[in-house]
Amino acid sequence: MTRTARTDAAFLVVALGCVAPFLLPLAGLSGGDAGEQARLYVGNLSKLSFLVLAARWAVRSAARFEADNPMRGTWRMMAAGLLTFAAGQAVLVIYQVLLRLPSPFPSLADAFFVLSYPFLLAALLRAIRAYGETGYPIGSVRARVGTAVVVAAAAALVGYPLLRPIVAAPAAPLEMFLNVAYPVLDLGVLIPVVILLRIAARFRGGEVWKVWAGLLAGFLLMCVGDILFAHFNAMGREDLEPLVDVTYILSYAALARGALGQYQLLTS
Amino acid sequence: MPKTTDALDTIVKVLSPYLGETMARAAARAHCEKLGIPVDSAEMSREHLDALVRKFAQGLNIFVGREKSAAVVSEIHAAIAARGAS
Repeated sequence: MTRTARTDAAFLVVALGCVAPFLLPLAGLSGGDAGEQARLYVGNLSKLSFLVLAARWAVRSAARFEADNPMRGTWRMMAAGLLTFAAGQAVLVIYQVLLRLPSPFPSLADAFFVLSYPFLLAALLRAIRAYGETGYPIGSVRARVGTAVVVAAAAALVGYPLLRPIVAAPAAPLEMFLNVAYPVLDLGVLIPVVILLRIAARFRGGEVWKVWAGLLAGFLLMCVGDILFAHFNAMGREDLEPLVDVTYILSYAALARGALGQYQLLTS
Repeated sequence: MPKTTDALDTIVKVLSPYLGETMARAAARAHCEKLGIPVDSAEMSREHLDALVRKFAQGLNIFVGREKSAAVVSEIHAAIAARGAS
């Protein structure tokens, strides 16, 4: 078994272990007080740990690239986005784990989460530009623009029915803004994510593909999680809560795996 | 001078773990075309081989950094030399 395969297996096992407590309620079992406690601690701490690890490996990857390498800027932006995101998650951990209080919505955590999006978006756009500079056959600029237009149109078509019930539900202005902002920001991020997925798929079978497959899977799952969260929050769909946690945990695990993959690629 | 097919196969083999075999082959074809290297000729000149490897390295720099890319280039040259010697 190669080191990459071992790392993949380790991430998969840990991520599945972390989502296990959330699968009980999805299967109609609560698990009692122990289940509640497991979800509280495992959910919060695994999300924070994966994000901190992702940020750490992003920082270290950025530091390893030479000053004139276009990927250095990409990984710096990625690191800034992940660190900001981890700060938001840390706020939630303080409320839920340390203070044993339900985290308010909106809270300081949302300021960090929203602030992370420009960094993450910049990282993805820089990555597309960097891929273009490799000189490898990754498709034409025209094809990338075409993909952007198609994804934007699809996002608008999918986003409208998804967001309509959220907008119609009664909520305070800031809460309403965030309920709409998260899925909209995610759908915005989805455009460079799909372009990058199409490019990265040409590298299937190689380490470069594994780095971006992890990162892009992470962003896709984050998008799904935010849409589920908006429905859960705006329409009182408490049945969605465990699924929201599952998607977030898997998302952050995938981001961490991608960032570690890049660091290993630079150092092995 | 190395055989063209041997040189290309070696480059693809060394780069596949990083780029994937499909991309390594597609990039080899595209780079040869851009550099005017005839892929159907029996042998590849040293100048053409160096230019081709340099072109690959420029792209690889972006993914793995200059240090690792230089190590991969050395690996390619060593593998081609070993293949030529055998």
